Amino acid sequence: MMQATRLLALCSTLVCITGATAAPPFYDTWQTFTTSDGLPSDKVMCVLATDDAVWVGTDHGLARWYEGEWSSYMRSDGLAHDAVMCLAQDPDSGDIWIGTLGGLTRYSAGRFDTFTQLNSGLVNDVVYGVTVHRGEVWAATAAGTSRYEIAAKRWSIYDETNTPMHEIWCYSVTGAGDRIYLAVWGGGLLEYQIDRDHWKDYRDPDGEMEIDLFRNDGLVHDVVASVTVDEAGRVWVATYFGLSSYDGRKWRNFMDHDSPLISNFVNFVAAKGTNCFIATDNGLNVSDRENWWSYQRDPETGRGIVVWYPAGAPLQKFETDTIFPHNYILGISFQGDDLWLATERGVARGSCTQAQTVGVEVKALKLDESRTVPALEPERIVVRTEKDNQIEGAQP
Amino acid sequence: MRLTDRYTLAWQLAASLLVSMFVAGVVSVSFADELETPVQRAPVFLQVEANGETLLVLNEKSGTLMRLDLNTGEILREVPVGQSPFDLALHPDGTHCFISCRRGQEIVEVDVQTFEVRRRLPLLGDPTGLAVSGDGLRLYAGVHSLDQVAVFDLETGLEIMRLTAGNGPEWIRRSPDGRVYVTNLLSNPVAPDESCRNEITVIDDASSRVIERIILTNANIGRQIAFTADGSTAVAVISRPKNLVPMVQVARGWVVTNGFVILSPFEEMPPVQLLIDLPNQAYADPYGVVMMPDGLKFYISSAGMDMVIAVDLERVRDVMPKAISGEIPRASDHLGLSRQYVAARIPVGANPQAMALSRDSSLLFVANRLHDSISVIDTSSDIVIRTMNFGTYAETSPVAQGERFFTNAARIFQNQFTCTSCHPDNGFDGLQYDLEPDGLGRNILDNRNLRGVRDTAPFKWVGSNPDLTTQCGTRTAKWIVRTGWLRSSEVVSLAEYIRSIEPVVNPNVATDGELTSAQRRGKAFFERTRTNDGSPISEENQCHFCHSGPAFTNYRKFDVGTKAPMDSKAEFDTAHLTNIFESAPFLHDGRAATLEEIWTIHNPGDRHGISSDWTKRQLNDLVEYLKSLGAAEGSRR
Repeated sequence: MMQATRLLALCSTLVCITGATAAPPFYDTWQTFTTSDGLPSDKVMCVLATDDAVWVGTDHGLARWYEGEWSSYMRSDGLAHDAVMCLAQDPDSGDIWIGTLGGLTRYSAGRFDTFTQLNSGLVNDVVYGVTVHRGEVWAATAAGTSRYEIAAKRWSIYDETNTPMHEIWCYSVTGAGDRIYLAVWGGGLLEYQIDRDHWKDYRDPDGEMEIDLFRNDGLVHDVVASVTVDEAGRVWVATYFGLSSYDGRKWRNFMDHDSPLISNFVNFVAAKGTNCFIATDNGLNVSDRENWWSYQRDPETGRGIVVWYPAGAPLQKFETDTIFPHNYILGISFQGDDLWLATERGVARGSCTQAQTVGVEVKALKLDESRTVPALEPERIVVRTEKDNQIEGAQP
Repeated sequence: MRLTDRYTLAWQLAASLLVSMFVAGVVSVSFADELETPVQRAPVFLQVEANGETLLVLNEKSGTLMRLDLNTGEILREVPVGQSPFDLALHPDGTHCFISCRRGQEIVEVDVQTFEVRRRLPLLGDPTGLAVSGDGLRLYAGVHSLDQVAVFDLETGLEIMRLTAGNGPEWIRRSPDGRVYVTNLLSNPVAPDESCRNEITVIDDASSRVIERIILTNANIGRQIAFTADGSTAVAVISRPKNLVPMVQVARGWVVTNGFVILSPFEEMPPVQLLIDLPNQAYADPYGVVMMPDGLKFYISSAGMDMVIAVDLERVRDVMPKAISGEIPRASDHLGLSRQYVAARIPVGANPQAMALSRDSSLLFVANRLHDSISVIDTSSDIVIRTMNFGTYAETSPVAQGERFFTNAARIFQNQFTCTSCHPDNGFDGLQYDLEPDGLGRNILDNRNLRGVRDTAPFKWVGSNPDLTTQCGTRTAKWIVRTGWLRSSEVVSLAEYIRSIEPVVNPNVATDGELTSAQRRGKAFFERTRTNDGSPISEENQCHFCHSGPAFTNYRKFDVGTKAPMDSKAEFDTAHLTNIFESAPFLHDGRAATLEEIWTIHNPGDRHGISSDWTKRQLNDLVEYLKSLGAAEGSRR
């Protein structure tokens, strides 16, 4: 009852405020799936929700949730490797591309076809990121990035010899319009203009320093784990030392001491509309750069702690009965109004049961660019325990 | 131009005579008047038009679309449409159709009334089967060389999607229930010691996405598919090669069997494969299939036996539960079952392939590809009532005669197979064979592509046959057909035909023949004389030493370190590289599934070229170059 009252209060607050920015929905109900439900492992590395199914990559197999049931696929079924690191759907054919620690696999209507560095042009078998864009598969690997033109069955390699790739450890790749963005671990962000066949790199102006000397002067750090592009064309970059966003003209960086970002250790970012969903080692943020949500699991109670940070207004804190199973989040995917998260202890689906919070219009209280973001530390809820931080297989 | 202006009476008489020689009870309806040079048409597709009075015919060799008057057999109109037309899909509005042209590398849209070409949609990669979506907005086209289905937006004419099919998509047909079925010529890739697995790819027409892949175990060479009117039953023709047992088994009727598969998409029932063969009589190379609208009977053309087989579907349904339950053991290989459901075996003209029913289904028209004629079968009596001969084709030239031998099972023991059975579309079947009676599992050899095989002697993987006449003569008689086979002059004709087989157009070559930057780098690497550290590479270990000359072979044998424990010899013929992009798997026993694997897995001791110093980029460039060997249409490099 208390929770419902609080939610109602939140909704009333939001509805009363008018403005131009669409607030992200408040995911107030969560469902968790683990090995007890049929997952091959609880260590979920990635998740991909499609129109009719959910694909879950774990450290020990691939799972598919379809018509309410889980199915598992292993190497013996045709998967390149049991450790599944990334997933992408071909928006045209619907085929699923699966990046593993042993190669790249295509799942197409029940058939697995595997591409490795030994049997194909794939540059390296350790595939961290994959996307399908404009009829081409891009695979970010531990030794550069491969491009596979599906119709022509032609492979190309992008590495230090033909791009400004200062490191070849590519961690994530995404496509938007005529651009491909590569997250290079230690090498910053690379942008490939497809039509011009031109590469451009974005690096941290501070070099390898783990502090940001000058605010918003560029990419916050070169250790980039993930990249996404929102509906407004803004590029969001996940680093292990903070979050960056770039609108094509200016950078804005967010760190845990100057914004509601839960943790500087950002594993994954995914855009929906003008919001960026930010998976960290300590919970989930959602932001449009001005307004923020944070979602965390209280490891003591297992309840959710949700904070709403409207721009220029006091934050509000809520509790939910359900939340994702672990604060270490590695992947995000969207399915209609639902949100799917890959976590250390299973995969979670977040839903917004309070329909009126979906798409609520809130007043756009833009911060003055020169103004410091209000200090939020006193109100912030920091849920970090030694137990939570003992992450097996965590990436550097 | 009316063809009646092009024929001579002599040719008419010759054609009529040949028809009468081949087909009993034929009524020749020929119209040829004058002709200086015989024109071989090779009809491969038929469709009765909405008026019921005329028939659309696609001719493979003449590259023409023609309209026949079904009453008189007269050619009302004939126009060139492109090189090697294969399939025709009528748009639902009935005003226009689409024709795939395999060598032409295009889809041609033609106004059905005027026969005017509206537009040409380029499609590299050997376009094959076609189907228009139910809403008429999209076109599905098989891309044979690339194992894909291209989806076109018919409003813009642009390709909007590329789907992954099975191995060599062949025919595409839309079921009455709204699904689109793609048959695939070859088995999906399997290891050399595995049986083949042909796939039927199923596309949801509403989303244009692949929704199912039906695997047909032990089946290869998938051809046409047909449906009952309600879509509840589909029949596709298949062959079942027994490639893992020695070819000496031909004497036991156990090399290739021929049949069909029944699919029941509305029921939880597995595909049921059954044969049309008899214990001592095979019906080689099943190709076309047509379903009667009442769903009681279907017809299969046996291209290798010049026959049409009428199958009673009700009797097939009686057999199916017993086949599934095992009450009839090994029903898919059972040579005695066909007596239960084959209603008639009907002799027609040479190399029958496509068929079509009249509007009232009382007549079945059969395209006799190597006879330039159409047999007309009365579907109530299942006998040929007449033959419409519209050409002058006769086996006059050695090449034409050789093609007839290549595609006909008459000289094979029990008519079990033809050259085409293992070399469909003049290529290869992707399988490895235990050819010789030297013990089970010994000297397994990969079947080789015949497209572009001329001037690549010697033949056989061990290079023991100096020319095609040797390869196709005594050796074939002794090891393969195990019967009388051909006279010497006939073997020469067969060899001439094989020499005439053109390679397919290579989709990896730009139309102007220019190499891409990766292909240029690969070419330089192919021709390298030093390793990456600058050390010289001995001449015989340089790629272009063995793979030299116009076909990239020096015609010699080498030991490249691939001798298997069960191989008798270590030296193998240097494979030619023309269109090697299409001939996976590789090496003498097919152990390399891809070109990359030749060097990443199967090059012990750097004996197949020094590859241990290669970078991944160099390997990729080399593969890109190798895939480009085989010129684009009309270009020379």
